[in-house]
Amino acid sequence: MSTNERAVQLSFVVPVYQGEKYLQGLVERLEALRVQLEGGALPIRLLEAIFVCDEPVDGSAALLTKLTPQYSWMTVIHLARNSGQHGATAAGMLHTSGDWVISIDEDGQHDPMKVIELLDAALPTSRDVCYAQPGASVHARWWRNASSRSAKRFVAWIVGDPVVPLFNSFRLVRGEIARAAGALAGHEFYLDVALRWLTNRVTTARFEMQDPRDVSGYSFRSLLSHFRRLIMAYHPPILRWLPVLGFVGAIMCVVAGVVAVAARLIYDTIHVEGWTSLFVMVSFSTALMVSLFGLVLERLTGTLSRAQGRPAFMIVDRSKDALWRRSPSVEANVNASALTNAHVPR
Amino acid sequence: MYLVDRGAVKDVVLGVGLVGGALVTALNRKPNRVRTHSAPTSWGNEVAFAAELESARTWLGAEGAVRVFWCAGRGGFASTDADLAKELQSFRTVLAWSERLATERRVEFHLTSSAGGLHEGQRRVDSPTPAATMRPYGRLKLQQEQLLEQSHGLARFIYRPSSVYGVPRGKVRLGMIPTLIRNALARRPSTISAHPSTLRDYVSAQDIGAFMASESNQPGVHYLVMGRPMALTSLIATVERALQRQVAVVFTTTKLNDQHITFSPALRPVDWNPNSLDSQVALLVAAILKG
Repeated sequence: MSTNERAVQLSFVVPVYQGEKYLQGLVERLEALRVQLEGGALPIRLLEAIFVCDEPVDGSAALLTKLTPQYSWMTVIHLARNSGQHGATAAGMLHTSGDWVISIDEDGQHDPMKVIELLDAALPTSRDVCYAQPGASVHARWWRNASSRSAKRFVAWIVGDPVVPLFNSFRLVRGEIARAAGALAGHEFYLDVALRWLTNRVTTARFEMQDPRDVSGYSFRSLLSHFRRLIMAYHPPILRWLPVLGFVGAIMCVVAGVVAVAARLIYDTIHVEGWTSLFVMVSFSTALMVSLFGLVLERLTGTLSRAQGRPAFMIVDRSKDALWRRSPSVEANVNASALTNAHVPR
Repeated sequence: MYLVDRGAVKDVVLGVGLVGGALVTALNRKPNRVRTHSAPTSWGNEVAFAAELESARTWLGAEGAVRVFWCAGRGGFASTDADLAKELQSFRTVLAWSERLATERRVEFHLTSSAGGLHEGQRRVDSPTPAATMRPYGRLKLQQEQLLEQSHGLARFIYRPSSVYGVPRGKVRLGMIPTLIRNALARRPSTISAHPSTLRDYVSAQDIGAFMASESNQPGVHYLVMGRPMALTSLIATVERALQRQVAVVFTTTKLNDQHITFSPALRPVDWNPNSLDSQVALLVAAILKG
């Protein structure tokens, strides 16, 4: 607990599914960060870390139960059933009190010490979300990196949001926005899309990240499902073009019909009777249906947004950002030289 | 004042408001209830109040242990020192009466304090966190706790609930959640003097009453908190879900009520299993609709 309200308070959120091998190290790393921040000049404190047991398949839950009494800043919550990484992160966010919430993976590929770099990217320009970006390839296998990048770019094109390729589970989010996004969790929930509903102030911080696992936690099937959910969570702008597309098609059919009638009456160039008019009528009906379908979909999208709780606005208090900007210690420590990893046990 | 005689144990409840009312309900559900008595209480008139306490002493008889529950007080975050002076005086009177009673039999004194009042502006309060009061209400609660600590012959129980909500009774101040529900039902907007993202911790009066009524509690300080921070916007969303309708809210931002107050779940007593806000708000809606 911290009573130092003049400092920026940090809350970590860690969704846990199969992290037994890595959790002890992660907890020690967080403790080292907490101790360094307590003794350091930076106006930051580690307030808490929320571990969300998302029905783990290994001994993670038992390990966390054992570790919790040793660290007062640790909280473990248990989800009744597996809710996926985004659902679990959202649940964790709803249990935070910090000014900033940092979500990290359980498997050690996200170094908590890098939070300073994330803060330094977000606070000086009062951003609300900062995604970590790997300096080099994060996965050991080149094809995993390449496929991950390509898939994200493809989805960005489909949904019309250039921020999609920046999405990363290592993210720093302003506390009130994190909690508001967490409260939006529902069916087909995608945390980063919820964050995009709430803010446009997104930035990135680039540093090295390594995935220590030999195999990905995702199967091909789960990856496909992941991208499907991402696309469905957005309301792709392509839907907005459907009514226009249908309308243009209908106009073209009318023109084609006029041309066909003219061709029959004036030039008598149509030799197979009935085929042209049937073709024009079918095309016209199809275009009309596409247009109406597009209108229905657009209405449905609006209704769905309201049902999902997408807010019209979000009020944020960014006044504490000045604390970081004004702090003389930040200038000196901005490169986190005091927080080098050299002396921190892994 | 409400008295319950259960043979070996006699309960005296002072203040039958939100928490006191829930406590009375819980006490009346317990077995071995021999008789009950509801007596008027002359708050603010110390002479009459002292006489009423003496009558209560007669009613209690000479046998059995006595549990005195202090759930009284109309004070809140907006109260001034002057508003709270009478409350403190009444508390002193009850404490002195309990000490006299303790010379003859075992007496437990159960004080309802306020976690919010004692820790305003603090986040993730855990056991080593010293109280830091910011206004008269917090100072009153701290003073009451100190007076109890200095008392003689009493087994001392201190309960520190966070933000309490429940079914309003009689002239009790309507809390924020019932106000939101009633206004939404009447299609009126509610005004909240705080920032929408202000974090608090909400507990139901029913859960507090049930916990306090238990005879297995140990003397000491008990934080009756959820250990789950909740922003006002999330609270409003919860009420909207329970009501199945939109709640119109006007936020008047004031620095006075913008302080976060949150607690670590590690503070929760082992036997304290509060119900979720969702279920309790749904019950509250049903109770308000029922009138």
